[in-house]
Amino acid sequence: MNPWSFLLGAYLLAAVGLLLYLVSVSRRTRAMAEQVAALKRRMKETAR
Amino acid sequence: MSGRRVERALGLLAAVGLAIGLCIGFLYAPPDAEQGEVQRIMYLHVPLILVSYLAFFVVFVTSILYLARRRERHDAIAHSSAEIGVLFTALAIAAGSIWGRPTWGTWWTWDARLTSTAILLLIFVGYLMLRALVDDPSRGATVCAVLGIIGFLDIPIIHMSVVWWRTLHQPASILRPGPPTVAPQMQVALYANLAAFALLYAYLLFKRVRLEQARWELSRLRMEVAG
Repeated sequence: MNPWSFLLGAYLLAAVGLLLYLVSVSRRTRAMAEQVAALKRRMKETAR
Repeated sequence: MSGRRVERALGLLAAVGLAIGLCIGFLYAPPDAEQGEVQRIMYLHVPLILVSYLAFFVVFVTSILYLARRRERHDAIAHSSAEIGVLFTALAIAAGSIWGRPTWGTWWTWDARLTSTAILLLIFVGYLMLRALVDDPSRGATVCAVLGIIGFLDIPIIHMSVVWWRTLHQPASILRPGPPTVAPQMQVALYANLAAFALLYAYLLFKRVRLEQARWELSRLRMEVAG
């Protein structure tokens, strides 16, 4: 068995997993911040 | 320093640390006398599992603090740390499984260490599912704080499993009484990667807590709108 294919598999899997998680957190944070900003805007407009 | 700056500094430090750890693991540390090159997976597997223990320890402490003081911040840290802990545990199990195939001749075995780690993963996947299922954030936080405290109790069982039962998994090499059983150059690689993954955890935690705080704010605003 070629050890380098196992090494590559393990490290690549970890890199992809961590990267996807990072992208997921960034996207969710942006979406949440947009929702908060939209709601605040709507509340301000309603108050007026 | 503002929170964002700390987050950016941690991200940079983690990226540099991971690059250095990778170089030390592949260029400085020698191949294992028995396992050969494939042993280098340990510079990924061991830091991932040790940092996941740290993540669940943070869940344990902040869950106790949340139950005692009912502060949103403690719950945000617990929830965020649990999610990162699940990711790190899943990756540690996957890396261990990839190492196990050429070393043990199998991807998986129902060994006490492996089984108790799989149980830990399932407990915290359940924790995250429970979070998603409960609509009221404060109720979800209370129920999950209790689960987070109970779930953490699996970690001493995982750690001691190689002592209490006869297992295929080797005994602890670092977190053990007495000096580590690993060669000095390999220890350097392990500690460098451990430090890099701890920095990565801190960076992800900062980022994830910001999301959780935005979620609490949104829920508060929605309640205000609803009257």
